[in-house]
Amino acid sequence: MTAEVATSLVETLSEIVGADAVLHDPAELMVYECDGYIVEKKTPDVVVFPQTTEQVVGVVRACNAAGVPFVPRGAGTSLSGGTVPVGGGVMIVLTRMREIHEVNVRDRYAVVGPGLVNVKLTQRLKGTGYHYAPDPSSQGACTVGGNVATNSGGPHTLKYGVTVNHVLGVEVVMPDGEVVRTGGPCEDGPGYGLTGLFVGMEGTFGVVTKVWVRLTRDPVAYRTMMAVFDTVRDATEAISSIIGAGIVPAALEMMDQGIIEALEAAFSYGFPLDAGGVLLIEVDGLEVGVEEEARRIEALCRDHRPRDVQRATTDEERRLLWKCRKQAFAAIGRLSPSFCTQDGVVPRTKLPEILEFVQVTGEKHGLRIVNVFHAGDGNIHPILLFDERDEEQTKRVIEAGDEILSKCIELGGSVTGEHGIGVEKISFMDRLFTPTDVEVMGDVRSTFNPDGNCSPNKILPTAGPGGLEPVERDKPGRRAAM
Amino acid sequence: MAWIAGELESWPSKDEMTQLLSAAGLRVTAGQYAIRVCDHSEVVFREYGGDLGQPVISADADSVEELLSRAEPVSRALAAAGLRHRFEFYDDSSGRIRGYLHHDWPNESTADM
Repeated sequence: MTAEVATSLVETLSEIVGADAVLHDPAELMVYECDGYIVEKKTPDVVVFPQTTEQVVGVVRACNAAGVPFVPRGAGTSLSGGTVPVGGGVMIVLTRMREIHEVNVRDRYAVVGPGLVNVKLTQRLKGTGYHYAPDPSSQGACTVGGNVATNSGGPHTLKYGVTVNHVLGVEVVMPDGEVVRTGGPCEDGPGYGLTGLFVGMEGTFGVVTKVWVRLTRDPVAYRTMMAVFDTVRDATEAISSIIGAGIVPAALEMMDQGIIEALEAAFSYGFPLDAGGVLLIEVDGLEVGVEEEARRIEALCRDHRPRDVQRATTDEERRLLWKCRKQAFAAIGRLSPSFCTQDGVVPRTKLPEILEFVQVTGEKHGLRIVNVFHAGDGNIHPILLFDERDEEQTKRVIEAGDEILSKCIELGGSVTGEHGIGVEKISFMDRLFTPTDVEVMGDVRSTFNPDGNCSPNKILPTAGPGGLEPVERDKPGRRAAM
Repeated sequence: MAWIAGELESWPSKDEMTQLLSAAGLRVTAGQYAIRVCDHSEVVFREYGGDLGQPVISADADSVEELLSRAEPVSRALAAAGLRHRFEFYDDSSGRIRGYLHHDWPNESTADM
C-alpha cells in the first residue's frame, strides 16, 4: 500500500469507526504481525476495531474502494497463521463486538458477537443448567468468531463434536459489503446447509459479525479420571482399548512427560515427574451410566500396566485437573522462549507409531518436542520448542513440522484437526486433495470472494488477489529471525 | 419447569430409530439432525447422525408429571424394541431427580422412587 493510499484510507476508516478505533503507527501495528503461530509474520498497514455490523460494512467497502485486502481477526490465538495479513492491507479486529445479544434457554440457543471470548458465554450461562459445548484449550482467550473461522474443537470434542455442530446460524459481511444471514435459532432448516459452509472458512468468505449458537444441557453426572503410565506406548494402547470397547468418553486427553514437567512447575498438582504419559479421561451423562463407564475404563486402563489410576474425588480436584490441561500451552513458557504447535490427525490405532515418529524427528533435528493432545480423536499436538531469535533453530522447526505432518498423511490422517490451514499448511493442500478437489474449493471461494480481497492467501495455495504473489512455502511473509 | 436427561446403552441409526418409533404408533418427523416425536412435541432426539457423536434426548414441560406422560410412550417404544435405556426427570427449581423411566437399567440410588 502506498503512503498516499494509507493516509487516505486511515482518514476514511477513522470516519467510519472513530479515530480511537484505528491503528496505523508502526509500533502499534507490530502487535498484530502474527498470531499464535509465530513462525510467519507480516505487519498489517492499518488495524481497525469496529463495534457494529454497519461499521464492518463501511470498512469492507472502504477497502474495496481503495483496492486493498482485508483480514478479520479475533483474539489472535490461531495456531496456523490464520490471521497473518499476507500482502498487508487492513486488519479488522472484532474483539469490540463482544456482546451477548440474546440467551434463550428454553429454545436452547444464544446469539453472540464474534469477538466474545468463548468462556464468557459459559460463564454467563452458569446456573441455567446449560453451557456452550466447544471448549478449546484457549477458551479463556479465543473468541467465538475465531472458533467459527477455524471450526475449533477442544477436549470435549470427542463426545460433543466441533464448532460446526454447535453453530445454528451466522451473520456475515460478504467481501463486497453485503450483509447476509444463514440459519438462525431453529435447527434443521430447509435448503442448503450454508451455515456449515461458513464454519471453517478461515475468513475467506467474509467477516462473521453475529453467531447463533446451540446451548447444551449440563451433564447430570460425570467422572473424571487420571491414569498414569510409565510409557507413552502403554498410554496410547489404553486409549485404543477404551475406544475399541465402544465407549465414547466426553474427553480423553493425553499429556507426555515434557508437558507434565511444565505443568507441575506451574501448578504443583502432584503429577509424577517421571511418568511417560498421563491420560485425563472424563465421562458424563446419567449417574448410573457414568459409573458403569468409569468402572469399565478403569478396568481397561489396568490392562495396560498403569502405575496409577485414580478419580477426581471433589469438584475442586476436577477443576484443577482441567485447569492443568487447558493451561498446558501457557505452561510451556517455562520450557522455552518460543514454541510451534502442530495439529496432525491419525487413525487412533496409529497413535503409538506417530508418537514414536515425533520423538525420532525431534532427535533428528535436535529439537525438544513435547505432547499434549486429544487422544480420543487421534488429534496430536506435538509442540516444538525453540528460540525464534535463532534462525537455524527456526528452520529446523519448519522442517521437523513438515515431516511430522507428512507422516500423518502417510498414516492415513490429515494435517489439521482443529487449527485450520492458515498460512502454515497451505502447501499441504495439494497433497491432501486432488487437483479437482482443490479446483472445486477454489470455485466455491470465488463464488463468495470473487476478487480474493478477503483474507487472501489462506487455505488454498493459489488464492490471492491481483497484485499479490501467491504464498510460497519459503516466503509467506517475514519469517521469524530470518 | 421440568426437563429430561436420558441415555440409551447403544443408539440405533437414525433410520432405525425413526422406524421403531413409527412402528410403535408414534408420529415421527426426522430432520437432518433430529428426530421429533410429533405426538409429544417436546420430545426430541437431537444431534442425531453424521459425526455428531451420541445423540441427546431433549424435552421439557411445566411439570414433571406432564413430562412423564409425554415421555412414557417413547420409553415404551424403545422397550418394545429391546433397547436398554433410562430417562430421568428433573425439577428445574431444585435441580433434583423427581422420577425416571427405564428398560433394564435401574439405579440403586433411585430404585425406591
